[in-house]
Amino acid sequence: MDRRLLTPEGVRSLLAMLREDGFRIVAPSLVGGTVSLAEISDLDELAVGLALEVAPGRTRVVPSPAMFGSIGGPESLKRWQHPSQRVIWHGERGKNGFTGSAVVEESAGPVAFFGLRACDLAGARVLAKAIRRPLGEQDLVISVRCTSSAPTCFCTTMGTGPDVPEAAADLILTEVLEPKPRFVATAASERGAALLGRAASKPASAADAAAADALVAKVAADMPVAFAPEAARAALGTPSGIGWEDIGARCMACGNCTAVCPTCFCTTVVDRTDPAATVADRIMRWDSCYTPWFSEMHGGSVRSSISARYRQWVSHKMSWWWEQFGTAGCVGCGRCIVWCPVGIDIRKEVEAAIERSTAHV
Amino acid sequence: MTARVAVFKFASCDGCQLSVLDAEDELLAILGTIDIVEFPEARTLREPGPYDIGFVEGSVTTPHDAARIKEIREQCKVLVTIGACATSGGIQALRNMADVGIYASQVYAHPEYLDTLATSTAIADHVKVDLALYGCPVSKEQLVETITAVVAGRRPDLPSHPVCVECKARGTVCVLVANGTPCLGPVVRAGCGAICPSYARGCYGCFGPCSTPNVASLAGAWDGAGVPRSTLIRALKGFTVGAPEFQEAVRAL
Repeated sequence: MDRRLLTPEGVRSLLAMLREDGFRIVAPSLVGGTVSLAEISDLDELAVGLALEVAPGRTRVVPSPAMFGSIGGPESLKRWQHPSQRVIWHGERGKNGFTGSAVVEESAGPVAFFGLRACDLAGARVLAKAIRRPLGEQDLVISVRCTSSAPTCFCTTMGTGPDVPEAAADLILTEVLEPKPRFVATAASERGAALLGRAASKPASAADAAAADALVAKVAADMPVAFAPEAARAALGTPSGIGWEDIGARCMACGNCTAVCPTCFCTTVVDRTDPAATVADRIMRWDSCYTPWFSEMHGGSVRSSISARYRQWVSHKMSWWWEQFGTAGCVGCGRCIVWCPVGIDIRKEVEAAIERSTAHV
Repeated sequence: MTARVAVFKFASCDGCQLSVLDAEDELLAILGTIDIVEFPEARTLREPGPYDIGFVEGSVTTPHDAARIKEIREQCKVLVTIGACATSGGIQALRNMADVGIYASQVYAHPEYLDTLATSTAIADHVKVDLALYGCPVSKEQLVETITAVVAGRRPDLPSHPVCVECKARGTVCVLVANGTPCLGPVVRAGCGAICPSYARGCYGCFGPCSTPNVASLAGAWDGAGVPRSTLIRALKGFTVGAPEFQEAVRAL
């Protein structure tokens, strides 16, 4: 497709147009001392010129020469695709007895997601398959391809990035800084083309397009391959109780990894009633395989040890997910590494599991 | 038929009883189904048992308390402990790791008049407890939820997972990862709604340990944030110092 050139102001004008069109805007924003996807009410809330310095269990906000340079914030599309809590059934006691019905969600309006990375979009696809809830048809996706990576990134290992497939977005931007900041834009859908057509842009030269592609290719080339996904699938496909003591000592079973994971979809259901006992709600909430009650059956929790819970999580992500949904459950975004308070690195744990499995053959 | 509800006080500051009073708007709705017949913080008239639900605030610190809680248990169909004192011995359980005689001599002019135990212990150390509400003070929402659930005959929604689960559910950014703010959240029981981290403060553990706390690992994260071990030990010796998991962790650190 045609590639166009936008100035940084042109990108801002795209967002302003989307706001005028009635879209809610979800974009990188400075929230709670980090840069994360968040719904913004004003374009001044965009995190511009900020990046995250990222390490296992640690982020710090730092200035960035790039307009949108941040990678590794805690929020993925899951927050909007699969909210942390929602009422799925509502009942009321009236004069004629008790009546109840399923709660149909009301849309709060279409969302324009801005600044999504290849891993974000892969996460949304994997999650959509698991919970049968894609993004809304009216939602719009503007992706920004990665021109840098964090040390926690491993999208090339999982085959999800850093390039963005055109089918995944409406508009794909690539930020080029030298000799002066500009964005190479590719319309990836009719809606994306219509939006781009309304902004002040000019055709991108072949050199501009090549410069943008080279930046993304360099990110891919520079990112170390962490492990072979097929080997991980095989190694973790056969449950083995051997070798998990060490991770059991380090893991706190706090559930942060499952919460920030763009694909972890498990939920629990609780019933609540009001004090006057006239209203009842059935609420679906995010759950985590790290809570002891996740595997609670008659007699107690099946996975009472933390090491058993870690093994369950990583085995599902890397192996059993394939049998369930036809892909890995991990997209290599590295959020679980960044937001683990003790910096447990799934790449190293998978590598260790592969080593153990080959040692036992 | 209305449920007869009683609120009892042991060694405590009365803050959890105030949380009961603070739930007045919600309790008005429930007053058709419950009758609060014993509540020293709120009324002088006292009615004898038996009671359908008994809420117990405070810890056991005297021989008299130790005998009284057994009588109360016999009078209550459902016994619910409320707050850090009742569930883990409270801040006064600092004496468990010290000599109560020295404490008493520094506080009281005539400590010889005191008849106190060497330890401050949780209610569950003395009698069977049916439900426990944690926190200093308890969460009003959990209190109302518990009364509502018991009256309705359903299981109350009281999580035992760490505070982190609540932070992430509400979308609060991790203060430990993003700012290096020491936070006990990963080892502390949820239920408060993750109040402190939502104000960019670390959790200081007033709900006590979660179901499987791994304090040794969290200590490494606090080290990484440049926090001295003495600060972590102080944090664990707070309102839930009497919790066995925290006492063990303090000894090991």
